[in-house]
Amino acid sequence: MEKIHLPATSNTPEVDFDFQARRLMLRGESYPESAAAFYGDILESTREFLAGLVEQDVIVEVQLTYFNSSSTKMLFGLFEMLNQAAQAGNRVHLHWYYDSEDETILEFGLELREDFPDIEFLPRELEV
Amino acid sequence: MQEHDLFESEMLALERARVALMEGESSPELWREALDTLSRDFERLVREMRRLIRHSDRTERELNLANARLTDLAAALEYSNQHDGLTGLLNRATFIDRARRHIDRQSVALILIDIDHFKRINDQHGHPVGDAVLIDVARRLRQAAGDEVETGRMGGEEFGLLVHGGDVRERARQIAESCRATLEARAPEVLPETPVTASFGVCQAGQGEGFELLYVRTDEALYRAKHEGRNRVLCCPNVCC
Repeated sequence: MEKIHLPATSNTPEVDFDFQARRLMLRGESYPESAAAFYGDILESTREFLAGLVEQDVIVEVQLTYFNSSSTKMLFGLFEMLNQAAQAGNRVHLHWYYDSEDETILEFGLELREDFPDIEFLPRELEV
Repeated sequence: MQEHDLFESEMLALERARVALMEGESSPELWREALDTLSRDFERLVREMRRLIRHSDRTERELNLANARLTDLAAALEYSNQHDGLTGLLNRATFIDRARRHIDRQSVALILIDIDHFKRINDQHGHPVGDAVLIDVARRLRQAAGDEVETGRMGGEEFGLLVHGGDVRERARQIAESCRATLEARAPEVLPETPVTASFGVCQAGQGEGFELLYVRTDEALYRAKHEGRNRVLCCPNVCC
């Protein structure tokens, strides 16, 4: 599968989904005009990629400093499919980066751990 | 490229349920299956909605805090932009700006004040002591002049007072005299052995006179006060006093 690489813009994060290396990375801020349009195809490709995986390790790195509500909704979709892939026998490792002074992002990550228990949640504190 | 919607999966689940409703009459099994799928989707939606609202509340709280910090910062910036950093009096630009606004609306008198022999204080005791004297003089001028008088630092050891509204002519003379006497009465704490005095020029703005001319005439009165021996109040001839 072809990798997806989108550089960051003022309102969308950098996206680096290297399906061959099984490494998916999101970094930056996310408040696109239409989150459905921005994430729609990315999620579609990810669904395809995950469907073909059998007992594999997937590294997911998320370093978002801000995401609006509609981005959050789309991210839930992403974690839902990652959780299902983990339930199907793959190992999904989520590296969740958060600013040491930003409790909001950490709290959101901890809630993800509760909601998607089959994903291995790895909090990663960033020094300010 | 496919058109995506934020609630794509929920709309799909709804659609499936509708189809099952229409076609499931003959098969309770199909109904059960559709209801099961719909309840799972609904459960997920509620969970997501709960998280979303919590996240959005947290973000809103952070934004409110950031906004409050910005408001405080803007107020602090505005204050420092309008005031002299050393003495806390209005700075020259703000003093002149306010003077212009008062002149357009009401009677105005300007008092210009210059500390006597200030250079000597700086030369003999150093600039930190000179700064302490400026702070002390500014504080006492403000106290003696009262809150209704605009008080500014015009630069160096020169200060300005702006008396406005009503009979400014006599009031300005009295305020200047009161300020002069206050300074003369007590040496600054930092130099208890050295009395610090000041010279005063006082001038009322003439009809239609702008700030620039008023400033020049008041400065001339101040110059005469210096020339005639310092530690005194001199008023402009003609218009004032």
